Amino acid sequence: MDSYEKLLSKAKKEDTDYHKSGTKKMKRAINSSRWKIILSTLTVILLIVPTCYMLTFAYYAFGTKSTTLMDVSSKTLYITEPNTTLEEMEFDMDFSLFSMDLSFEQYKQIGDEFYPAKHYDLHFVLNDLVEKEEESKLEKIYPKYPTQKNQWIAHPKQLFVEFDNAKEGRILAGLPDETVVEAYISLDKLYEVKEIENEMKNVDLTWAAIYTGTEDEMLSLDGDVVSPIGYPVQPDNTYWSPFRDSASHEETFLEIMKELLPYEKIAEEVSTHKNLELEERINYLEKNGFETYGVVVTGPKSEIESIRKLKMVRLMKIGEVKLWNWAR
Amino acid sequence: MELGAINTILKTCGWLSVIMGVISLALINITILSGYDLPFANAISVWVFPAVFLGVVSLFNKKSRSLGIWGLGLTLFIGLFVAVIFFIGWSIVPFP
Repeated sequence: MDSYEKLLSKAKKEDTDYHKSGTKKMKRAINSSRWKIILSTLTVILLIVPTCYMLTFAYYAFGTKSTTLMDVSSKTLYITEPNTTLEEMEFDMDFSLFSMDLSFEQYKQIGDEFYPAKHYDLHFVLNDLVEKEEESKLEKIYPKYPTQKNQWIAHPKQLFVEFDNAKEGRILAGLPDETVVEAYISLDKLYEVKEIENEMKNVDLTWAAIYTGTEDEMLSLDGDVVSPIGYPVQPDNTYWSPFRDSASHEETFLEIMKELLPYEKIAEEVSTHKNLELEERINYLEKNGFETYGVVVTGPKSEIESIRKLKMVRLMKIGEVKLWNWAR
Repeated sequence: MELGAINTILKTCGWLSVIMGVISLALINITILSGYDLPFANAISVWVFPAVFLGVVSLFNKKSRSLGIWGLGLTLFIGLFVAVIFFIGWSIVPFP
């Protein structure tokens, strides 16, 4: 091979090497950008859920507060469900994307003790209650779909009720003396709550239904069916209770109604009531004051029987019955 | 050590930082979407701290800097996420 050919082959080899290294670099660059695209797409996709979760937290902290929804739920139950208490530590809150789960236990006083009555599971999407599950532990279930006549507490002008008062009397008489009873009492006219307290001293007056101008026929001015509304009468010192340290339960009751007014839709969804008609009822109470047409009491069977004989007691529906726990 | 080798190491650090950040994000996504407090949620810091370290290391070279910024950006987002969930969570859940 002469020197010319050597030079030529060397030049050819260099050219091939140059191309080879160029292709390698190109391949590496293509690979690197391919991974960059894959990872950046992944990054964008993976950022969506945590960002939405942060927005959910921000909504429940600065928009409609989670504590507001919790307060609305608990206060609604205190004034719409007779003989109700809730336990602070039993509240459970869980957040998922743009939604919140609230679950809690509702208690009832029967005799001297508090028993679990219902377990609530509320599912909110933002501030809309989209699902409500109730798991009742009660033996006597309050009518789920309220009508004008199926209430357990009736106004004096309501002559017809769906339960049989005489039968309830026979049930009460047939109970053993060693039991404690919860009773729903309808009165013969409107009374001040204090008058009832003075008349029924040997039992616990747990709840009083307050006349708000709509209970004569259980219809609001618009013709909507309403349900009894009222407040717990006995002092409640549990930390969670809206009636804690309340000088006047009547005023606290009115305050709660005013607080619920902007959230009436949520309150109606939480309660079993079809309509709350808060504005109409607040106006009536502010003008006419507080009078009761029915109360819920609990105590020993014999005491409830003697209350049944009072002239002021028009109707009595027996609620829950438990074995003796009256330690007084 | 050759300059080329240092470049390759720093680039690798950048890539690792990004990958670790993406893994941490994926863990956060799984935790949120499953709705449970999964044990590996606590192990996110195991991925985040090395991602921060590797991200900072890869900042020292022009070629790997973009990867380092990317990795650090991811860890910064995760830090923000943890802070928001912790502080706002404290105010929206009024129980201990």
